[in-house]
Amino acid sequence: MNPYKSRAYYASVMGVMLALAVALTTIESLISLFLPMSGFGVRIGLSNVVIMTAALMMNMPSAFILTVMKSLFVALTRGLTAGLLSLSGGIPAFLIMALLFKRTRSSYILISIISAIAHMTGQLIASSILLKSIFSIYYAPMLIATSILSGVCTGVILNAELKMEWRLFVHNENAEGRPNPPQ
Amino acid sequence: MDKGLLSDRPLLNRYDPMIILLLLSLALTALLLMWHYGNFGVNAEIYYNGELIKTVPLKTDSLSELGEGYPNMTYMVSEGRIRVISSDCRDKVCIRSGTIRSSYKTIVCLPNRVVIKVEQIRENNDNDNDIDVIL
Repeated sequence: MNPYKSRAYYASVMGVMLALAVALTTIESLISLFLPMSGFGVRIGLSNVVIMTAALMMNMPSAFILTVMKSLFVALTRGLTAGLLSLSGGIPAFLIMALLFKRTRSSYILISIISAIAHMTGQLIASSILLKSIFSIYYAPMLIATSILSGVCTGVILNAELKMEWRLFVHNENAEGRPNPPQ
Repeated sequence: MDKGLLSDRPLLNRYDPMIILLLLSLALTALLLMWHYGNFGVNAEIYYNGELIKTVPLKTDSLSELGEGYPNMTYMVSEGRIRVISSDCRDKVCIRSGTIRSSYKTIVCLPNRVVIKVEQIRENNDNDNDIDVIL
């Protein structure tokens, strides 16, 4: 999709993307309650799928705006600390993701995993600064393991979703692979 | 549409499983090292804003609060383990962290800036007087 078709179009697409990201964050915090490592406060990172889609289907600045807006939303609803942590994880993850997408031909799963690890590293550094102690570093090995798990999950979802979008927007086909009627 | 970024990127490259295995083994090694060097502590330490504010013995069961001037948190010690049972923070990760008793685990409450960890016992210091083996 061309994000610059018109200002109204851009605003509405960004609004839908942000709503999706926020809704997925809520859903995944519900899912994470049932995961065995919920004690670490880990989540799958489903909203990352939305941001990666925005980066690929729209452009990098839009994806960055979405990252920041999502953190602002978290800050409004879950408090300043949660918002700061969201930002400190989201920005490194976004930068690494953008670099890998622009400069390499790495796979979706690898990009997801490395992005998840960057997210975790940023959050660990931020929490060490907030707590004025380095004890949260004890979480790192467990978090790397869960980053790999969540990276595989989001990578697979992203791959499936982009294939669908590719059919819809580029080849103008419906979900069964038949061409859509002309509008 | 920008086709450059999307163009036929694979789900998994040839060498990706090796990178994943390498990362997993790194994490597992670190976990094993922490497990090996960790100990079941005698005391739990409670930090607020990076400063040690309390040392709680784990031998005796207790239930108390952090006290005046500190965040509203209640912790409980039982059977040599410590856990947070109530906190005024929003996300309650500290409560869901459950009980800890070994020194490589921590309970962190980020909104309250509180860390609870079990004291690390340094085995190589201060035990010159101990007799290990009598032959």
